[in-house]
Amino acid sequence: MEFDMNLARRAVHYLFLVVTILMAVSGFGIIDYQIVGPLTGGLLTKTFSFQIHNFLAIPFAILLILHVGIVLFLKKGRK
Amino acid sequence: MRRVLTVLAIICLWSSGCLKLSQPIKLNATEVRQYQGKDLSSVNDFRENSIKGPQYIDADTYKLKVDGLVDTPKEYTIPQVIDNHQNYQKSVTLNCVEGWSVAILWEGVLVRDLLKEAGPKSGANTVIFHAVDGYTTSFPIGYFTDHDILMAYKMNNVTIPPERGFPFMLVAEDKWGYKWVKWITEIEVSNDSSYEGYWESRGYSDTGNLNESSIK
Repeated sequence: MEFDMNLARRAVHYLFLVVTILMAVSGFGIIDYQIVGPLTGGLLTKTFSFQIHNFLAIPFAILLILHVGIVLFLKKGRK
Repeated sequence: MRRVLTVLAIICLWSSGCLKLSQPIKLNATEVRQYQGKDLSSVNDFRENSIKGPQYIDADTYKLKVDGLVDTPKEYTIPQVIDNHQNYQKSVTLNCVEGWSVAILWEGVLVRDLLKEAGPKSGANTVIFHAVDGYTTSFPIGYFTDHDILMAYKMNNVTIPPERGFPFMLVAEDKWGYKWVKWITEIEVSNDSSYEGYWESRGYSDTGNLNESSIK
């Protein structure tokens, strides 16, 4: 099976977008827990937000490096 | 699309607190911002993250209770706490689990002195702090008997404002910020070593030690 660079690149970009959104939402869950908790029906508590935030920290850093690396060094195959 | 995402990211950061600016608090004196050659943070550098928002306690009717497993339950007015006990000053940094920290010059009385007056009974092993908003947190009694832990009434030489815990805030050295209970109304001596306070019952560490994770 041939490695599809475009697919990988797109996957990194979209994964980075998803992880960034989750980081932001869980960040809200930590800082503004009085608002986010009730808004999510008690699902996103401050403690759960911390767990998500901590869990995603390393994936976020890796995806950020990949995302920037792809943009800087792989010019999307454009000529 | 990218511009929209960038703008959204900036809005998210701003409103999530990373760049949030707070209103300055009115103080009853000028803050000191240096102590023994060390820079101090400001009273305004804290982030408001209490469970029910700032509490405004009436100083005239306020009473601090020291009760539970003690020989002589006590009740103090604010002047009785401050004037009838040795006062101490200490610069201690509060580290919040949210990632911010503030170095403040605290002035207060030793919790140990208050406990000694009430006289913990044999079997007492836990001290539970109650706040006016229903917040609670607990410590092993040895934390107070073995260390000089302050219950502060001044920060940076100004009376602790209502937004920061007037009249008394615990300076829980070497503990995460959620152990620094504000608006203290009661110090309960107990033999319930498994007691879990507000955040502890929601997954935070019971010890709250700075050198350990804040999450269980």
